[in-house]
Amino acid sequence: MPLSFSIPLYLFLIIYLVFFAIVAIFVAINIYHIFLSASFHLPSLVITVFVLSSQLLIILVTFYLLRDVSWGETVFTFSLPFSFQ
Amino acid sequence: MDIQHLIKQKPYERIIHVLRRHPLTFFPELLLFVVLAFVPVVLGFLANATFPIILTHAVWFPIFILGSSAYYIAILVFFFTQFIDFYLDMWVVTNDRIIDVEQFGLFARTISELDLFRIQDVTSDVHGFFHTLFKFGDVTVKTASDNKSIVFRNVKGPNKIREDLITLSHEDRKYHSPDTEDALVDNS
Repeated sequence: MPLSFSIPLYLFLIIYLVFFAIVAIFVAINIYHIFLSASFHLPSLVITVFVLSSQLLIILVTFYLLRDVSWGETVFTFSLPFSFQ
Repeated sequence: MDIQHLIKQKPYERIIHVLRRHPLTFFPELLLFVVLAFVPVVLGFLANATFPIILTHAVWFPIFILGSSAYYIAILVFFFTQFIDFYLDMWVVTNDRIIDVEQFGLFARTISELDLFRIQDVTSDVHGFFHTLFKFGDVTVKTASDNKSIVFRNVKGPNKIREDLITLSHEDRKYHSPDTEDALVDNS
């Protein structure tokens, strides 16, 4: 019997969430730099609010568009023509 | 934190200028961000025209949405980092010294300073169409030793800054001439 394994759709969601967590750390470091260099003025405030609100909006729109998705679907199925027996 | 803490301001020190790069020099990064923001929109139209099934498919549609979402989040953080790189470069001029704070990307920053009385040469350089039109350019400050110089890059009103630096340097030399230093030592 050939060996087969599949990649489920939820794997992409997990990768996306991990990516988002890394990006959130980068944004936090950027904001920390602004505080550390005494640069929290109107231009930096406007850009920070723009970036944070845009990211929030992107997340909300993404999850709204994906609200009916069945995450258990299979994306790929790989079959190997041999088995380990 | 405020500027006074950042530069560890001395009791007798006055901040004369806090200089940053001219906002217009950030325009190329802003333009790049706008262009990059349109890429998924164009790809969406192309996918709709060539493979319309992608936008309705049970598997490819969520992957397309997750990919586009990750792309937008990535270009936003890239834009933010570019802004930090631009905005956190600053030069503080006091009546005693020049402090050069330069941010390089996300994890590198250098802070250097130069005493005003050591200034040997100040040059302002306004070079280019937009620089001339919007009155911004570089100011290069050199000391007697060749290896020590600070460049204020793309700052507003470079000629005025050069004149101020020369005046401040002359004033500061009064407090650092050998006679004055001897007098200060005697008094203490």
